[in-house]
Amino acid sequence: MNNATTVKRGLTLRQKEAITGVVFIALPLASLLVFMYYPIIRSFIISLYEWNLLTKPTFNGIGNYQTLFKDKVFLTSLWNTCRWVITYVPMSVITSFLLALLLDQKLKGAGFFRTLYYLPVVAPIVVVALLWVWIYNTDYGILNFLLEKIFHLDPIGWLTDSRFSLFAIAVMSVWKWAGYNMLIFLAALQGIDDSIYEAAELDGVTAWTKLIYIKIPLVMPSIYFVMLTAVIDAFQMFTEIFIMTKGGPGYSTYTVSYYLWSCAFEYSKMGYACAMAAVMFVIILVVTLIQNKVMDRQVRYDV
Amino acid sequence: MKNLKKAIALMAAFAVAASVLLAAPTVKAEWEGAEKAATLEGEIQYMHSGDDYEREMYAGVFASYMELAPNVKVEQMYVPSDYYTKLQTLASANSLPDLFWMGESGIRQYYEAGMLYDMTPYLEEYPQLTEDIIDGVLDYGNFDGKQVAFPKDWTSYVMFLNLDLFAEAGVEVPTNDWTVDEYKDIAAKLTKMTADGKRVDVYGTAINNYRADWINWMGNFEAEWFKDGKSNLSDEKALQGLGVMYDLVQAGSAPSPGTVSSTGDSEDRLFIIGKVAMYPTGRWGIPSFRAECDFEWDAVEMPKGTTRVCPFICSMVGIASTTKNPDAAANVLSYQMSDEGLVQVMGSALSLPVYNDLMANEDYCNTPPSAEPFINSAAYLGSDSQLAAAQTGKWSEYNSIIYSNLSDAFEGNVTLEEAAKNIDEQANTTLFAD
Repeated sequence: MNNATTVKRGLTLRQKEAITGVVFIALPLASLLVFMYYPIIRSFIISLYEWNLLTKPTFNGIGNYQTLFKDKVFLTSLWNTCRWVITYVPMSVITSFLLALLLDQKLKGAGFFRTLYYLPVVAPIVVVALLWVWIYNTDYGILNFLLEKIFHLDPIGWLTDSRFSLFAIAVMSVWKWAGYNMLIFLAALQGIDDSIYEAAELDGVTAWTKLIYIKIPLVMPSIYFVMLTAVIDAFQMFTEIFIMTKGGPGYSTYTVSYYLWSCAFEYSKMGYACAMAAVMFVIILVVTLIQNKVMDRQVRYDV
Repeated sequence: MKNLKKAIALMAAFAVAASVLLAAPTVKAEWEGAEKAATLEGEIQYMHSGDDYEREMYAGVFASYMELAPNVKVEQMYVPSDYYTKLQTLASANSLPDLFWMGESGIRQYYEAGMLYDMTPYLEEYPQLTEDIIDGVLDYGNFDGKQVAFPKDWTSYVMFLNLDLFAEAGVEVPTNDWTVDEYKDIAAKLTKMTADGKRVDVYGTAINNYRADWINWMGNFEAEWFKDGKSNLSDEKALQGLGVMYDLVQAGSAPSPGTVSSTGDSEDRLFIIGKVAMYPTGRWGIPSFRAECDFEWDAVEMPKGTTRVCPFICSMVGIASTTKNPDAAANVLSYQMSDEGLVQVMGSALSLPVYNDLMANEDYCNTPPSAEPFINSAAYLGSDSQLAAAQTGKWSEYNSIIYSNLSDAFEGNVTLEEAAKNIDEQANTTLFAD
């Protein structure tokens, strides 16, 4: 007599389930291999060649990497990217967290404000960039108008003065993306059990103490996640620069991603661009590992 | 009654036909390739960029060609954006179309990769292709004595004028023989402040941080800005030329390019809405000006420095070396460049024919604006520096170096001399080191 778990063709239920499982993961796995891992590996290989897409690639060893660290534009771009990460990430995380704290209050119209703060996230980046281009306009922008009216300041070239351009774009990006991280923080804050607050209130804790000793520790997994993704995103910043300044004035808003794109698709230097991508990969990996090491100690998932 | 109707219909048809014939452009010469076209067969892919209007124009050219070559099918591959990325991708996949456009500065890479067909024998087979052609234009597609790309047209760089603003300011309209000093002077006079005197309302002129402007201004002062295979923008004459643009911005007669882009707008839009009185640009601006300017406008030649140079801005046509049907591809090109083919394209006023005789013909170089500046500029088209820089195959990156450093100067972050020094240093140590 056949075992109850054996099917007609001789496969056990476990084997059948295993095959089904493999079939289900085969497609995403294949797409991951083809569209993610293969390009990464291929990109590392291309970085060892000189290749303009038209002629046969010629092996160049570590030549591209050597050139990279002598290339002033790359070094400027790398410096700008680091400045961007240092400026944008804290601004973005703090703003999102503050917004989430505000919306976590049980106030009337919180839903309206949640939608309002989230709106820039769903607005196309091109539209947002053009809107801010107008806000930042030296002669007719509302920002300079207000600064002149209130503080009697001379017009500032927010996007044309190399001292301000990167910071100005960072402010725009914070405005654009704050709503996204805000939702993550808000979900975490609203996930905190009310009984914890009630117990704390019985002990007479202040709002500040509640924030420091209850809210922040309990949303630390979200802060960790947001910090990690924000840093990775910041290192890859491209679209805002492409639309708003094209890297200018001078090279003041060149980022590695923008320079990489220029080398690959404007100058046809694929090998060189891939070397840049490899360097960025290593930098992001190292920074993420450091973040992991430092922040992992602060994160508790068991509360 | 029936006969009367028929007579009226016939008369109406005759009137329509007559008006079409009378309005039809004059085709000066019969196309020499017609006989061969009738014997050819096969399929030809033709890839080009441009706007929707250009797509329609070329669709018309191919349709009329296929009437003459009934056994040849021309497949139009129209690429409205990211043209060069797509062309490179096709080249990389060894799937280049039979005929395709390239910028005048981007040919070397394709030539060195052996992807371009040597069309020199076809220049002999179709003498009309080079008959009365403007001096020097073939050089941009000629490598090692082989003609690997053909200039399909060119576009002159001239100064467009808002005549209403001239009249309003009581300033005399310049003529073709004006000089750089007069230009600066007029630009200052036409610049108008807002009522509170704090901002500029109308700029006298505008500059573009663009290759045509640099080449024009440096050339107008006889600068050898690319010399012996090296960037030479620190040359005194080059600085003098670039200084025209720089001075106009510093004097407030022209907005800096950064200021314009920070309005989310462009210099040509400012001219169209009457915020810029004199605007240097190519012939490609005319269709928009004709459609949108609600003021009187015209054009004059660019102001003279110590001489005059008109930048050569053009799309070249190449035949892929992988084509299976070079005869048909050359025949299509020959038709496109014939009087019959060109007349279907030049009416748009986007560009100019590369033939001297056609330049003087209203059907090919139509008005408004006045044709004279365009016709005159053919006499001083291109320069040795431009040709040498274009043929390095590194123009795109060189262009980017110039653009970035000059933008810093125009925004007042560095001096022009510092910018030029940076350009030469950067270009000569990276691109032109060997």
